[in-house]
Amino acid sequence: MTTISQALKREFAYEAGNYDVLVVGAGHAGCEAALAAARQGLSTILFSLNLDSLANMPCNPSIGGTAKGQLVREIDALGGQMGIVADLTAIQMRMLNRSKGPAVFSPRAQIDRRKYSGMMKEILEKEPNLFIRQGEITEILCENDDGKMTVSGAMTRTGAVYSASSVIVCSGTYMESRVIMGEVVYESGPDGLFPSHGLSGSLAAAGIPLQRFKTGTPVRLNARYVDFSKMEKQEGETDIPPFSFAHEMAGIRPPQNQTPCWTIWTTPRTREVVNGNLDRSPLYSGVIEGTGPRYCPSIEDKFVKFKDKERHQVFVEPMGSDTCEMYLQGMSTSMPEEVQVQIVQSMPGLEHAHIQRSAYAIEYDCIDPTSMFPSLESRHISGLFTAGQINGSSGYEEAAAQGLMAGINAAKYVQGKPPLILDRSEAYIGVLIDDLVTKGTSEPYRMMTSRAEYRLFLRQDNADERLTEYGHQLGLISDGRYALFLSKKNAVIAEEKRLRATYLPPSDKMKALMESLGSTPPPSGISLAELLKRPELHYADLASVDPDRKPLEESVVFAVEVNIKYEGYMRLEQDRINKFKTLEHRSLPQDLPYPEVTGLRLEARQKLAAHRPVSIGQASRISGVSPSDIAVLLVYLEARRRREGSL
Amino acid sequence: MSPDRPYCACATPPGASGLAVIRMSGPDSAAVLNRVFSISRSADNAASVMDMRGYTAAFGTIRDPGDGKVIDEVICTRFIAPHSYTGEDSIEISCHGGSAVRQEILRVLLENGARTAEPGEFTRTAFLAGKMDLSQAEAVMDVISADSELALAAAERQLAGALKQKVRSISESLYQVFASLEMMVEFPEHEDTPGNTEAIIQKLKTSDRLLTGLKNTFSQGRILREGMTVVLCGVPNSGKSSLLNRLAGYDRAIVTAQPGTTRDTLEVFGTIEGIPVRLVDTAGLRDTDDEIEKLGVSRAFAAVNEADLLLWLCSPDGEDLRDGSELFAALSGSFHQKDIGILVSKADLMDTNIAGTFPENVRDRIREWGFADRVRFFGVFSSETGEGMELLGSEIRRLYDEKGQGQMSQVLLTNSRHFEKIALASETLTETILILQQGQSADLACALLRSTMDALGEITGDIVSEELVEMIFSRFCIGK
Repeated sequence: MTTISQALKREFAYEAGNYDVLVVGAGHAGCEAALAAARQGLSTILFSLNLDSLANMPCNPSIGGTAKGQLVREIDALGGQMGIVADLTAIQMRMLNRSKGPAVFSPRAQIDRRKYSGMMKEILEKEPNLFIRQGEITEILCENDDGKMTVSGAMTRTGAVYSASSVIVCSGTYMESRVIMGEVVYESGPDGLFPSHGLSGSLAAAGIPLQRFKTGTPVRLNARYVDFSKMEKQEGETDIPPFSFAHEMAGIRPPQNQTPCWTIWTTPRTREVVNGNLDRSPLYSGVIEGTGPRYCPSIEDKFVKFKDKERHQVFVEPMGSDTCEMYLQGMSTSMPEEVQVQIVQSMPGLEHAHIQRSAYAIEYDCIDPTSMFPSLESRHISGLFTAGQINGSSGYEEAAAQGLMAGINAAKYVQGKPPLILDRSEAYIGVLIDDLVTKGTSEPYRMMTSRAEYRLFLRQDNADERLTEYGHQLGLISDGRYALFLSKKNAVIAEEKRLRATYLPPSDKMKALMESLGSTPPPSGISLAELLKRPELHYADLASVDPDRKPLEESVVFAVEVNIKYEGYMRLEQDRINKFKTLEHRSLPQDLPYPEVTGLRLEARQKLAAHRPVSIGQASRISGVSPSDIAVLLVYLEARRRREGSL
Repeated sequence: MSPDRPYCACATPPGASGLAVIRMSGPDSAAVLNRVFSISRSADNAASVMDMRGYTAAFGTIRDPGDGKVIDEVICTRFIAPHSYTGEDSIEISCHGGSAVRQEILRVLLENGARTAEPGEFTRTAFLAGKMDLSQAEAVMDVISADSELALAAAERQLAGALKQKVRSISESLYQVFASLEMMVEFPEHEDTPGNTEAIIQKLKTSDRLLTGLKNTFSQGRILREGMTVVLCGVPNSGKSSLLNRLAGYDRAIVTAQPGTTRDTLEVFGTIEGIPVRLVDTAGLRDTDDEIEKLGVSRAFAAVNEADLLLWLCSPDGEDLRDGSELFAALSGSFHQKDIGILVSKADLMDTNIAGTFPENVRDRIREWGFADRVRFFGVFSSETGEGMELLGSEIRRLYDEKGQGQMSQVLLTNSRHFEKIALASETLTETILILQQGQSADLACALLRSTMDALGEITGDIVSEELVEMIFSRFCIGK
């Protein structure tokens, strides 16, 4: 690794400045990281290859969806930026899974991507303590103190040497990236932007293990040559909360005039074209070496791996309000350009489609995330943090969530304070980061609700209740917003209490109401809360038998109803969470001599020595570590504590 | 510490003994015990377990709150943290030594809020609470690892391996359904995600039946682990003791033969046709005014309660055949719903002529009484020649095989921890089905199904989220 003084000896090198936190890359991770660090009072500089592509959406022009929508709500509750900008630049909003229960409600929005990028740039520019700079970081600088490496800054292609107490790398899919379309392969970043050279080599030189991943994106079309009459229309919704709790509490709702999306299906001709050109697909000819995501297969993968499926669904989505460009969700491909035209034109309404941008696959370097602590700090270099696709994840929301946590923890590092680590029972963010750093990933990692063990608790509607306290303590949530949050929380508690304490005697009115709602009239007196527990009854239904009811915010009613309806199930989940927490809060010293711990099985010794988990909980999630190994560790720890105590 | 459920296990070794001790530890121990224990007499006249002071005992009965049935008369001692072996609130239950009694007490504790202790958990907790000095630390770790190694001993491994496979085959089909449900949640925009709730319910029901079947093998597994309890009954001098002696010499695997210290019964362990058998000799089952004999009789009834097979030995004097005999009383009363075998003892005193027709007479008489259907087999037994032993052996084998009938494979649950997991899985699965049938929202069904998968995962070692995501990707075609 290069030190600051070595870097300054290079040709054309110069001292360019000194910052607390230096952020490499201004995608969704980098923007959140830089804002979080600056808002905690640290002088911060953010680098981007191209300032016109800040917070870019090179793939889907949307934010949210299942699990991802929950992530955005959590980012917002902690004081992140994504939810606010998404609300203000959305051209369509929907709440997915409304029929499947509040635990899986997921907000999703179509975004005007140019507006999103522009608004984020302005926010970054106006932020105190924060400086943004166009430039390519080619090397991370480190000081080596007797084998212990500590980050000290970074160097640009143009020879500028910046010193920094902490560096956050959010390089996305840019490191040594190459784009593949059929037989054509060339070095390039996403969306026609430059790749980044040298950075991953500099990380590898410090001993950080690298992986090579692949992802892809579909074609973009001009709407003027699309026949929407052959497609099914999908309208937005206006009666749903926005992403940001600040907006929700201020009564802001999705816009009235929303842009529709469209759905179509592939045809037998599509299948024929794909199957007839498989020999030209780099996925099958061996040109692509990187591992692609299973949840986002290219159209050729879909026809090959799911042979008996005759057709696949495709979504046609607008890219913005002042452009004719449309995005073809479900049609990611790395086929040659000429084949792409045939595939697209084989579908209904797209017979005369004009492609504005080709689909492509992109390969890039990322790190093995098990080389990080749960704080997102590198185990190899103190003060070096990484966030986003460099950590093997995929998706704007996953990136932003990690960026926010890396920004928070880089600041903590500089201030000499312990990091903030959210656990699996507190947030999807906790699940995401724990999965990455504990289990690693062999493909670009996408957040899914199925990955969360405590889904009844990790809901989009209660993200504020789970995380606002943290955000406020960090200084990322203003006192004003915090006061609003507390008043909502108190309103929920008060209304819940009232519903539990209000008993209704049997009456003709009650009988009539119950019968009209398809419910059994209660034989004796019953509390409003007991009534609300019935699956067929909702809060709004009971207005006529509840004269003392005061008008309440929708979000308060929602919370009250969920808390009461799901009480029994949530108590079971709470028991599981309590059990989980006791293991999670037993920390494991980093210097534990695993090979010497008697009673551990050989496999467990090796795995634990390699992973060096930070808590008993993390140890228990490493594959190959059994419950009896955990019991042995607990006893060993206690013996050690006493031995040390007796010294 | 967490508000974790108290854990319990038998603290005395398995096998025959006069008394056994069941230990339960954890903050809620007293509350759990109180649900199943009614106090007859106690120090300071404490009315409930929670009122008992530390180091005091109470005498009373353990009942199954489910059906109110008395399981045993026991003495419970209460220990209050930190003055106990584990350093936590604990209870020790001194019960009678029969294996069925122990199992029943453990079962009601588990059903009323306790869980099975992990291997070495009492000792580990004791150590962590500072109840042992440092020099014992390594010994404790060895105990824990030895326990887990023991679970890997050859015979156990075979059994556990087969069980794992069986559970995995059930959980694989459950994962397919789980993945379908999760797919609807995970990718709601895709119209082609499976959505047929009725088909899902049918599949879940099939798995539920398999789990219930597996759960029921615990009784067969219990026989392999604890022995089949065969209780010998009959009036005095009917030849019970000679049968016992004969059996004692029947197989070399006989372990112990000791008189019960708290009941007038005698137990002998042995194997018959490869089936471990616990033979219990009883006092006669008769009405009596004699106080001491009364006690013996009530214990005999208790033994009858826990029997897998009742053997009635008819006395050669024909006493059993008269109206209102004890055999009649037993068949019409206490033998209710038990498997019964009738043996005629071929005593040396018996006239050979009578002996030839006697079994037939017994059979006819029982038919006249209307109990013929209740009796599994009739036979003649001679402690001199060993006649009848073969029949007895094949009948015991047949009974054992029948207990496993209806199961698809030879996989047996022998471990109560496994039983508990399977029972929990089955319970949550049943509730999942209910929720789907009621048309409640998918998030609840998924949460319950996850509990099912978690319970099964503790047997197979699978991590639910990983398996689920794997299944979703391999079965469904989705993407941007």
